[in-house]
Amino acid sequence: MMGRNIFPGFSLFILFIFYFSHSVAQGIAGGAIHGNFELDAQYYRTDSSIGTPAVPEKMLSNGFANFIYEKDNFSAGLRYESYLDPMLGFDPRYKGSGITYRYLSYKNEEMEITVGNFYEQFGSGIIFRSYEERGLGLDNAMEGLRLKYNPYKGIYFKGVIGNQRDFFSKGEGIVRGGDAEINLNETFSCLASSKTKWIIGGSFVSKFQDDQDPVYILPKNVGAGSGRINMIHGNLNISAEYSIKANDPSSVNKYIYKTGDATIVNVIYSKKGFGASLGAKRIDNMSFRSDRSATLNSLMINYLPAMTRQHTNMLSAFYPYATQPNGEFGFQGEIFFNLKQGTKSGGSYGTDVTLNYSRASDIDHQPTGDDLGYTSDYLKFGKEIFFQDFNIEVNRKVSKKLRLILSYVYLDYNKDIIQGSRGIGHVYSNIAMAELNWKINSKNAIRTELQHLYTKQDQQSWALWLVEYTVAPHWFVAAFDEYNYGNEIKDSRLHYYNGSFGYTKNSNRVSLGFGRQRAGIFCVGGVCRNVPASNGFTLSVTSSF
Amino acid sequence: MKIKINYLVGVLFIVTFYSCDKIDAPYREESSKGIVYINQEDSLTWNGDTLAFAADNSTAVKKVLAEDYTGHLCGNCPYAGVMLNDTIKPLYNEKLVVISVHAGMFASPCPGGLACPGGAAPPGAFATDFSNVTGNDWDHFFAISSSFGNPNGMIDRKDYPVSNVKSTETWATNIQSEAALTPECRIRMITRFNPVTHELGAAVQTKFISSQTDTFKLQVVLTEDSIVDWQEWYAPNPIQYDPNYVHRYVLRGGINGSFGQIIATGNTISGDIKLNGFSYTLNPAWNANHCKVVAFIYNATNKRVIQVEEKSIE
Repeated sequence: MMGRNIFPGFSLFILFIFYFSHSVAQGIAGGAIHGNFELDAQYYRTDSSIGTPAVPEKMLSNGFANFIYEKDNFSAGLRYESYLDPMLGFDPRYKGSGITYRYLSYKNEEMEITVGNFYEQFGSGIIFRSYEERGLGLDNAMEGLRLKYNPYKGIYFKGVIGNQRDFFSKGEGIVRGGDAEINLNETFSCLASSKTKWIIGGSFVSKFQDDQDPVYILPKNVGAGSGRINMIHGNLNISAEYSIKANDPSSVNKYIYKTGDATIVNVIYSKKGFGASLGAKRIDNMSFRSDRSATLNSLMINYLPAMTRQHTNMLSAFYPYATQPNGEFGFQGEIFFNLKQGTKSGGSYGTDVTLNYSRASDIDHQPTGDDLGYTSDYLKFGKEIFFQDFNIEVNRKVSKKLRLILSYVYLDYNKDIIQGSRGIGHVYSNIAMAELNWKINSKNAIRTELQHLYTKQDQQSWALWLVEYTVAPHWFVAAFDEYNYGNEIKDSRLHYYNGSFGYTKNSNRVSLGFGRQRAGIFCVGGVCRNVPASNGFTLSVTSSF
Repeated sequence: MKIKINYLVGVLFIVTFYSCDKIDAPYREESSKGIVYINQEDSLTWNGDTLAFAADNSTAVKKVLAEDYTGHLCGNCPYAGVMLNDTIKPLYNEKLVVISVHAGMFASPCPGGLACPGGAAPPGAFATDFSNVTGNDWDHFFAISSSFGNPNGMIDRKDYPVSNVKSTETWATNIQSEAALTPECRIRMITRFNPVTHELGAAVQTKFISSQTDTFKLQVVLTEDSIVDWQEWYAPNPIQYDPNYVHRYVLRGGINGSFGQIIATGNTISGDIKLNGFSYTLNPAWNANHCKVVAFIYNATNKRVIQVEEKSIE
């Protein structure tokens, strides 16, 4: 049982700051402090028609402030967070306030040493990524030691050891790992002028967690290794990473002992007015957490990216994909091109066109009937399709003051797999969107969106209209209505209206809103959280200094 | 300096690289031996004997777990035990499941134990050791005997970590409020016992009645009722050392460890069924006719017990 480890750490931090800033002030004093502040609060109203959960506190809030001190090679920082109580949709284990992140760091030309909290990533992150995604309520910051070392030009080492943040406490597992990377063109002078650049890297990460399980004989130490290569030649960039993870029975994989592995390959070609990318990945039993009983977004050691487009419009983001760590075959292709200005197709100002297709499906599973779980033919697809997305976007500047963006998205979303629902199965949706930006003059602008989602499944069809008026540089006011007009249940044909306005001055921004939010799922990079329905007033304040 | 740091980095890599344990079959502990799952909801075999649950749509009832932390050398404990077992328990019958946990200084066997009365008690008194690993682990984790003393207890382990330890005078009201709750899951059990080998097989089926998002654990233990043995008993009872005290519902040990196993985590949907099978060998000295399997489901974070069930092994 790990208790809150806030005040001892804070006291240590203050002692360090005091010591450095007074006792050896000649090297530290005179530095700069900067940071940022953010507060999101919502006053909740009961709205039985959309199924809002009861909020006895009436108002909930999430807030934090970062303070970073920097002077020459030295830096220190802390973050204070407050969730009183956590807003709906955020894990209730965040409830409370305290200093959750603090660090001291020193670096010179060869080396960087950090003690306390830190974020870090090895390669693409498939065996280690410590990061924060505030919108998801995800923070798996490490607390311990980090060493970065650059012994020779082009050669980079990283070493980390620590526990991971688990809301207001720490996970019981110890995570330790190392990463080595060599940039061949920097290291070997004979390659310095080569047009082809090569970067090769490798990582190993191990976690320790005691075995107190009464049923299973569990590995206390679980290791994962990876190798990666990156080739850059002119406009072409090819990267690949392969990783393997030893037996790691856990809640997520239902306590099987099968080895896990993951492969990610990306090919990108870009030049002025044209770009193309192709990516593929195969993930097999790669949930890697510092606590084998952890689920959802807690205590993840690695990051498994979604190879799908991150939609930003509300209706195209209605069915976002969540990476399936137990097994997934995915690929994505995208082509971007510019229709030149002055041509018939490109118009007077040119037109950008983006075509994108992605698909994620199951991997092959051959059950073994024992605790190994299954075997899998590496190149064979499983029967279940998880997700498909075809989309096209045309972005055209019609005149000096008008820009029009037209989009079409086709989604095949296996809701039962991705959201763990039952009996809904695949949701096939066609989404069309039009966005118009009208710059009235140098200070005033209007943006409006019309969106329509057509589907026969789930909650059936939706329409959305949004309008936003901006008075530069300070004011904006916006309103939208998301209407579930096609719902087969008459009483559920509801409007989710929302209005907001805000004021921005320098690096400070305040906005107020009012309206309904539908229940749904919110994802960033394949990592998701459920958002319950809500109705009420919202306040958001952000500031940086 | 540079060479030393190179060595340091090298050592870090090597140490990390070797920090990996490869587990080969068998992958399961003793408590899972002989268990083969026919499916994940209602059928398994134990040593070839099928343990299958029939469909049951009856209404679930919330049952309450009362843990009495006691010791045979605790002179005040019998009053708590009598009140719980003779006064409160009959009000609830099978809705109240009692476990008497002998742990701490007052549970030590004599001679040798810190609380042993020495020459004041007859030779051979208090020689039985009712303590066990699971009871000691619970007592240590909840800091009951060390911080609160005996007798004390927990009712559904509610209010952890602030006020989960309940004094005896509050047991009745806490049991009453817990018994009034709507059940969140239902537990059913099937047991088999081999009197020759003293092996016990148990199938525990848990059906969630309400959807959950937290992590829940299943804890399965063995209790033995009506053990006649010594008990220290303060006045007003004139017999200070009673050789014929009836110890009720004594915890004999954990069947699946001291803190159970996770059976639900993340989004658990109403109607989800979990099936778990266990194997356990009884001490031949225990009276199997008085032994019961007690299974309870608790929230892994706040430790609150949401349902409990018990079943005789014979």
